[in-house]
Amino acid sequence: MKRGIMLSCEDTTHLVVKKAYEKLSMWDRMRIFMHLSMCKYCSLFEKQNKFIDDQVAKLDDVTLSKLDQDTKEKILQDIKK
Amino acid sequence: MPKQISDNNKKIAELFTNYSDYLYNYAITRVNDTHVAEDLVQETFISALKGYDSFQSKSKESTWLIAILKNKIIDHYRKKSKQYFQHSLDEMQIMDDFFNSKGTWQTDQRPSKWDMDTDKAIEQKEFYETLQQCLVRLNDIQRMAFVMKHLDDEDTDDICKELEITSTNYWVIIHRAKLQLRKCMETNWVKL
Repeated sequence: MKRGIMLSCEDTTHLVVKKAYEKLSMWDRMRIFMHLSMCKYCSLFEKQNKFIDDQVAKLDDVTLSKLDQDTKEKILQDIKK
Repeated sequence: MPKQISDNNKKIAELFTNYSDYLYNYAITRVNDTHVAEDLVQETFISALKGYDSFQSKSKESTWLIAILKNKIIDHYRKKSKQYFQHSLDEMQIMDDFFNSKGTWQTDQRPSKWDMDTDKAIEQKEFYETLQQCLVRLNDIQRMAFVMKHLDDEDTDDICKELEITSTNYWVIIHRAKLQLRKCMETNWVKL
């Protein structure tokens, strides 16, 4: 990652991702802010990334895939063997 | 049959009725193969039956079952090859790039605007279905790293240990996973 104040889009998105998990240094936060204020694509990335994070946490509680009944009965038989 | 054993059998059958879909859904999000997911669910209940006497309701039944399943999923990947996650990581690094050599978005990879204002939209089943499909399309190590963080809420250090990766690699994996997930949602959900 470059040392200067101007980050590339690749480095900015990397830090934006990291920011969701860890507290970044003041310097990194400033660099992100600088880049996002000028780059609409990275700003969109930041917003959409957050949106996905918020939704994905719910995924295990929305049961989407189900076992079909035949498989269930077969498994249940096998368990008891 | 001794009474203890038949009681346990009955109890496991009851747990199976209540949680098999939940466990299956959990497995499918993580392994990308319906047959493997079915096998893992089956093995989970077999282990649960064997270990039922030592369970003693210390935790919630669902939590207990998920813990068993989770170990089985990690084992499943480890069994594939000795350094399976390392191979998966190498494979990930040769995939095509989102950025040019200067680190700027490639023209065809640039994010476009989404209409996220619609609360209704995310209640829709299609949204979560697409999300699950997009997760499944990630490569194995990306999916596991992402899911362990976001769905299992694990510490970064623990994830690195379990997947046998360095923390530098972890951030590369997560960064790429999120770029791909976003792109996949844009292609398959936003533009529905």
